[in-house]
Amino acid sequence: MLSSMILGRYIPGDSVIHKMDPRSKIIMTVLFMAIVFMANNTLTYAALILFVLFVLALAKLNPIFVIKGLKIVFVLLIFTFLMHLFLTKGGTVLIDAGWFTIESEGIVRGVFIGTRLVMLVVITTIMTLTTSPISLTDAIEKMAHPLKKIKVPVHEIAMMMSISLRFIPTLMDETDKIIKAQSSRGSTFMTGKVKDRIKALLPIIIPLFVSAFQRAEDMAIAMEVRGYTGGEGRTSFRVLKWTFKDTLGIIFVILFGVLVWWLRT
Amino acid sequence: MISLKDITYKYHNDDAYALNHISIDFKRGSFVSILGHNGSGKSTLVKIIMGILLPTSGAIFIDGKPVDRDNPLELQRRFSIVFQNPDNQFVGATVLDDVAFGLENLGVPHETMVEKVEAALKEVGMWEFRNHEPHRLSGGQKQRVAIAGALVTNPEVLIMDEATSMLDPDGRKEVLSILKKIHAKRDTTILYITHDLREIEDSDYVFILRKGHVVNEGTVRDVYEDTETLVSSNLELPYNIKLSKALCDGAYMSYEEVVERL
Amino acid sequence: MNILIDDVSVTYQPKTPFQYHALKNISTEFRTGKFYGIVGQTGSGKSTLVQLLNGLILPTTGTVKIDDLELKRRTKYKMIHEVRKYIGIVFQFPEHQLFEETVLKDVMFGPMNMGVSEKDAQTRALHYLNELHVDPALYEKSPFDLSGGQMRKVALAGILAMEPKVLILDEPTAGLDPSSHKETMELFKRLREELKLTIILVTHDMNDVFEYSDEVRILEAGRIVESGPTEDILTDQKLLERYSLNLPDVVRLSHDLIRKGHTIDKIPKSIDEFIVEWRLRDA
Repeated sequence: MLSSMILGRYIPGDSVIHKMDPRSKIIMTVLFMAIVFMANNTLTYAALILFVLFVLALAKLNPIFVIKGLKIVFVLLIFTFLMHLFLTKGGTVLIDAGWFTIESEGIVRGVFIGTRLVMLVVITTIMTLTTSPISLTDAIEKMAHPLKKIKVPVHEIAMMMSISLRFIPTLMDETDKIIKAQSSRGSTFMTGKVKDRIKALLPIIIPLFVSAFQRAEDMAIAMEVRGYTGGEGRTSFRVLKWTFKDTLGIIFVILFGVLVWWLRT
Repeated sequence: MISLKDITYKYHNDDAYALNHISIDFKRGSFVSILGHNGSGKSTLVKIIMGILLPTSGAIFIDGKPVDRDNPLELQRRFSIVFQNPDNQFVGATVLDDVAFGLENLGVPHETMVEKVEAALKEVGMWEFRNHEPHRLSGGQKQRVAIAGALVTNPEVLIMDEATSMLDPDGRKEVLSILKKIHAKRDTTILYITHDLREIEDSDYVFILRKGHVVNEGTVRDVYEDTETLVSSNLELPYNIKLSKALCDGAYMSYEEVVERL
Repeated sequence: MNILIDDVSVTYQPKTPFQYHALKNISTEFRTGKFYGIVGQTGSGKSTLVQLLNGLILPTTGTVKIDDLELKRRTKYKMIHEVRKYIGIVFQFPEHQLFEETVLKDVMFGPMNMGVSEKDAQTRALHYLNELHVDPALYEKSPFDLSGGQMRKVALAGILAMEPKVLILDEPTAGLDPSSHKETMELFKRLREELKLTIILVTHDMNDVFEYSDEVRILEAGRIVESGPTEDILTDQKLLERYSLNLPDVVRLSHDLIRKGHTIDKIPKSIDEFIVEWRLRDA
């Protein structure tokens, strides 16, 4: 289950979408999200689905693979659908069981809102699947640059994000090791009462914190001796290149928005 | 030339001095080793050289002039360091980013940076791994990246602080052979800090540290001769030394000489 | 306690693009009271093998039998817990697993998880802390206030206090100074003699394997490629070279001396032993 999860994961590739500037990808994603909320009839929802399928094709991603990887979202989807099914009234009454009714409007709304949810999740997933976390961080740092004027430590936040991302796999390994060491000492956090299980987490959490603090301290020293003094006067090895493709992409999304606006009722 | 003159250091909550009147000269291009076990004062010394701690007394001199302590960048531009734990010094998200980190901090223009990073990675044989993330590298490979990241700013002294002690035998060989190459090709001074006597064979000069004192110094042969100091400093004797001491009148001999003699 | 590994394979993330065969059709045996050395390059499957014996990883196919306890693909947790009573692992850098408020409590953690009463656990803890020469003044201190070497000893005591029948050691002396190294290895040797423990030592240190083990298993790419008495395998230079392993120092020395015409009937276990024997010969 977890190994097929793709929420927030990055899969390297060489598609057009992979090669676009992460800033334009963020802008396009935000624009598309706005467009999703304009849709209000079958035609516009169909247009959204077609658009997303088109982007998936451009990114050389298999729709089945993406859907499978988003299993976890379906719980939410089914919940939303059922809510509308039972609570939204209007149209013809399809089932009348006395204490509840299912009406046609409920089904229509349920499907629409469900589709909306899937579109939102899929489009953001396409962004994260095709953009490395570090490029996303770069993009956020660049785009948030104006905030520096109001004393937001943009560079420091971006640096923190990038170091956290870099440490996730290391800490996952560490957690795994500690869990194994404590399990072989008979720690039983897999079975028993909830209260006992929570208590059994301490032998894992404490060593993990101790080691994380040690790592943080080592890292701080390593950064200091390599001359890190914050964002001031720093140059950047990574450069983001905005190309014609990126402008074109944004124009395309805007045109699509105009189309949806025109089709909506 | 960089020299440490009469460096003494005492931690607040400690009565004993962590370092007692340490003086070391780093001749340009030499390979200097500092040997000592846990608690010998090695790590304190490194922190002082890197400007993380200020000595209680004594100073660091560069070409005869004392170092300006208010300008830590001056030290950091001259010294680069590779630490013990390969994971905890890998700053970048990929090999390329990590090697570039020091250059970014110095404000080096992008084009120069790209060239320097490539050259440094090629020097340690890690260029083909340039896009790898750290968790996909072995310990030895991570330390090679750390060496590239240290050399890329072209320091006068490269400090290796127990940089092989967490590696497996293969990783250790990898790192030592890279160092040998660097020593032959560049005029960077190498300060090699270790507790393993087998790793100092290529050194030009060796210091033995015990409880904050330099208890012996000299060429590799000089320090090997004085086995008593080595043992009392809790250092493991290489077996040729054990043998020559026990079976060949105590004079230092290489392994081949020992075999010949027996 | 006899351990029988019968045709075991371990595959990580099967049926995905990340599929990885960590162990391939391994069959071997570890018998009561013997000292085994497991050697091989990093990534050869040593750590998977160690975890297999303790139920931290279950076989993908095949069976691990520990006397009459069995570990298989779908073995229930209860059985795994039972196995862990008898098999103790000292992982690399075991000091990273310390977490309790005091040294004493930390040593008592393992035995108490295994159902030993608090009183008995304390008796055991005191006994093994004493065996390892941990200063009694430290028993009520936080383990995080100790030096690295002392932390290592406390962690070791924590495993020994579980009184396992089989002790698995993964690079137990990494980072220790020479005197602690010797002390620790001698302790394992003594425990094995006194308590009839089976000891399985996983290490890169060929000298330790030669000095202490009775039998050796060499792993390469998930397979046991050599298996037999230590003095046969670790004295075979060609064989060791094939798996890029070094000869133990004393073996290299003895071979070189034999080549020069000396007679050495039985290669001593260590350089120290060699020195003693050579002196006798001179005298």
